[in-house]
Amino acid sequence: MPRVSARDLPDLPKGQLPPHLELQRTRVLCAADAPTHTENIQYAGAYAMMGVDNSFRLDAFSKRFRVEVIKLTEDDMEFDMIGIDPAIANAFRRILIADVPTMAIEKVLIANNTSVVQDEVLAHRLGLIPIKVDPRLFEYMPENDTPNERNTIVFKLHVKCKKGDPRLTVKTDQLKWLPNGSELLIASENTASNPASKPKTYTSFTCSQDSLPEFSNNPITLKHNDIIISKLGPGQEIELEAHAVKGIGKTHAKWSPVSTAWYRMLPEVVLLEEVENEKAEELVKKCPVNVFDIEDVAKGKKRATVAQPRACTLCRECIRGEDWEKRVAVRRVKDHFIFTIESSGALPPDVLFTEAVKILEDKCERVFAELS
Amino acid sequence: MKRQPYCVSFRLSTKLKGDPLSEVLFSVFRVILKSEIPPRPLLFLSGASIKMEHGSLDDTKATFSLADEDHTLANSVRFALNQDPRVTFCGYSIPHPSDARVNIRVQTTGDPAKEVLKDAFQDLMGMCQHVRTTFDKAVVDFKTSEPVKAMNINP
Repeated sequence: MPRVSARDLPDLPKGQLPPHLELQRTRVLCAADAPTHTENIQYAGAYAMMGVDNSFRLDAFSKRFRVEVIKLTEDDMEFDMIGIDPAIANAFRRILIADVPTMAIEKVLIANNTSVVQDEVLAHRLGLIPIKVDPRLFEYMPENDTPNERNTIVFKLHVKCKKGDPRLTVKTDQLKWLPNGSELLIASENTASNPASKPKTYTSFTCSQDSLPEFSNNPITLKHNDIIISKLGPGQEIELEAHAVKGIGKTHAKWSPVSTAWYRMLPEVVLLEEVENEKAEELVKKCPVNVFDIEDVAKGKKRATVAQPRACTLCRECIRGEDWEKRVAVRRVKDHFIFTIESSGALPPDVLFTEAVKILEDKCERVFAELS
Repeated sequence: MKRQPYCVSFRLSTKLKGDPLSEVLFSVFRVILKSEIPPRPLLFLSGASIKMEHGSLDDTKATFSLADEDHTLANSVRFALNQDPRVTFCGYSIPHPSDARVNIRVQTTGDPAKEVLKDAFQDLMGMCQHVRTTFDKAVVDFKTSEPVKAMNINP
């Protein structure tokens, strides 16, 4: 960036920053040694001297803000969020990872386990299995409450490897959903004295979950049927019941609805001067992710072009070596985020993001209500 | 050896006495040195999960202590506050990582800090609503346009 004396700057139209300041405000400049202008200028009066208002206006934000979906599949999503501050984008990311609830196995009642996997390790493994169910249909389980059909999902696992059989691999497809709740009986003293009373189990479901309208046509299943839980040798057996409850990723990562969620700023690659012939070919070769391309101009001349700036990983190979920084500028757009969400299976990624935004809204609402 | 940073700055300024720029700098130094941080008893209002610092004389400066919140909300609201022209200073801190609590400091040019903070939350809520509607619309647009793309009309 050439330094210009303030006296040599042209008179500015009001409400506009001089180009070099605008560049510093909106771009991270990735030089060969280090990135510069990485900070965001947030202070409302930062450009007051230039007649530029840097304060937040909701209508200006609404006008500028855009979302472009790049990819959307059952589990993955990539979209561009343009015109938003990293503070907010990061809040969404954090909420996606740690605050959006899902259902996960929390309690495991082990009736028999003679496998080589210890009880606690087995319970931990079961906890991490993603369950394909909409968590919004469930409530959080209050502390010291008996589980009911509104807050608990029960799965049963009973596998045995018979003597003489080859080793058995126990996979998640062996886990069976019990819509009527627990089948394990609580041992109590008065069962013998009062045989007429209904035997007590570890849950108290008032009705079967598959009779509920939301699950009748849509039974609760696991996201993947081929996760290995354990292996059984001849004569070994596992008999257990797993109780899944609602929770958030902040408590334990098993409740995190995303494998991961991340964002990166949009890379911007600019050729500061014409890069031609051998230099163009050198530039194309320099880039490991093929950002540059060569186009033929008249008279057998070749010229480098920036073909895929999005592919740029900011490795800065292209500006290494003498003089290359004068030809190529690598930047990042500060308010353009390429957001990626990988759902772990409970909800589709687009629903997850909407939920995350709602959660931030709820947080604000809560504090706002308490302040008034 | 004991360091004496204030002495250094005074010596520097006495040497440059008479020079107009240094005079200005010197007066700024004096202000900084003179302004003591007033004693601020951190008596919190009990009851609610949001606590406001008690004991400051005017309501243009306040520290709000939010329970069960973290960087997610605090950093977002700091951003919203920073872009408010009425705010002279704002910042947040998490006093201890094992306490689920953030302290948000707000100092304003004259408006009550509480009202400014409330406006910041309102701004954030407005932003969230707009993000949600824009996002939902973009997803619907994508889903409707996707079958057309898959048909591959112009291979």
